Amino acid sequence: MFLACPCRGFAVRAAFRSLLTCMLASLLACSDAGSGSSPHDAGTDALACDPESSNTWPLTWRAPRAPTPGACTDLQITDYANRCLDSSPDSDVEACYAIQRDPANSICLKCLFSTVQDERYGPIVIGWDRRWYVNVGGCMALIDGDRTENGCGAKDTALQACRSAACTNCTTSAALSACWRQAGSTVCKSYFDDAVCETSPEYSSCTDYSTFDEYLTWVGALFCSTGFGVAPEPT
Amino acid sequence: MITCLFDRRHWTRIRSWQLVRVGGVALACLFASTASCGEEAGPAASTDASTDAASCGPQVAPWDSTWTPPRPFGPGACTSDQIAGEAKCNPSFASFDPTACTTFERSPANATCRQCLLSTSGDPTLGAIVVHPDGRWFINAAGCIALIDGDSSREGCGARYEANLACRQAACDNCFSVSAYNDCWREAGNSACKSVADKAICAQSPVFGPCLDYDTYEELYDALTALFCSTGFTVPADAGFASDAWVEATTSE
Repeated sequence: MFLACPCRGFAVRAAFRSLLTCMLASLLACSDAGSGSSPHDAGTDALACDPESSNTWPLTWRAPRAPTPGACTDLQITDYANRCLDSSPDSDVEACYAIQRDPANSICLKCLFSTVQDERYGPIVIGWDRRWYVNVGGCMALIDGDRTENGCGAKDTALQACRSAACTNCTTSAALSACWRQAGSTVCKSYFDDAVCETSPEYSSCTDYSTFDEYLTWVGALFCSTGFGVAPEPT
Repeated sequence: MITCLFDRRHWTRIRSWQLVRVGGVALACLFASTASCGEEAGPAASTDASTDAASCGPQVAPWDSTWTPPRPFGPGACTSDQIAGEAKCNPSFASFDPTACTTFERSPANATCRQCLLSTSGDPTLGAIVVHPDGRWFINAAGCIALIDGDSSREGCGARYEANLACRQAACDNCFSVSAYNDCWREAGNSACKSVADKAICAQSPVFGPCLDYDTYEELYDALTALFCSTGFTVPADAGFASDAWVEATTSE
């Protein structure tokens, strides 16, 4: 399964002439020590949602697509992030629509986006909840070359999926962030323990970002623009 | 008679449109929805009496699961002037002109274009505009999705998108205000139509922006008629910076 932690997950809510990025998680969240802020940090129910055991999220691991260097230019990705993510100061729904309509961007968008039903995932996955998730686990699998369900990428994805399911009822980023951390030591502890490999520095190019914009830009570039350097062989 | 209104407050991505012709009056009916943090906003519909918000809801209703694949994009069948000429026949457009419409429709010079633009719901393949037996016109966004996706089969994203619309429309057929219809539309995705709605998640991809991302009915008409009958959908050779990226992206899945 693909899911990045909620801090890496956003949903795009389009509203009348406004594309809202529904940022559900805080920014440091994926490390269990951190806490952060988010655009939706109303701070009212930080204590109101506790992690709950859930089987809402299937934990089926989906291997990442092979990288497609050159499907996008770096400019295409940054332009997309700047225009289409509401958290960006340059967010502009009309400009975003224009990007998405332009056939010149089709190759790039096809590389960047996949949906939860796909057999293999690219850098951004549209989940069952219509939110966008960065495929950090898939990125990790491409870094270490282990695309199997026993790889670190799969383990990280399972952890994030468990956390997402456990905290699905949280409605503010503060609450979600708190729930997220707590889940790692409670209902998702087994996944957390199993995914300790994710702290390895070798995965820094997949994990060391603080905002969704950064994740999209950099992980997107690894999959669709610059590539991973030496392309890993499929396992 | 259905009066199709559109509540722009809920509008983001256009999902489907229909044009209703009843008693010589054609009304644009926009069906829109949005990726909205787990919910899809409803389409607009019906008279906005605002009285049945509590009296309608998703009903388990039979819906037409027929899928008819699209015709291939056919560049060159129409000029932009001809597409604008057909638009004069649409009463919901600012350019509506019945006299000019009649002249346009009668001219043999426009026959090829109109054959490309218009299709009927019984045709084996569908073009940009689909005319239903009751006179309603639909813009074939599902067909556009299928063509962009490269999969016109019943399992493809275009077919799944169409099924989602059909199910929700049937489920909310007993709603007669915009707000009630919108509420029903959202709820249907989590109840009566959940299975087909989940299958249609594919249509949330920005890849289908050429088929869905428009602000007005006129824009959608102009864009999809052009895709089907004028410009086609051509990916520039220099899109991305690797000329074979499209092939790789397509075949790597």
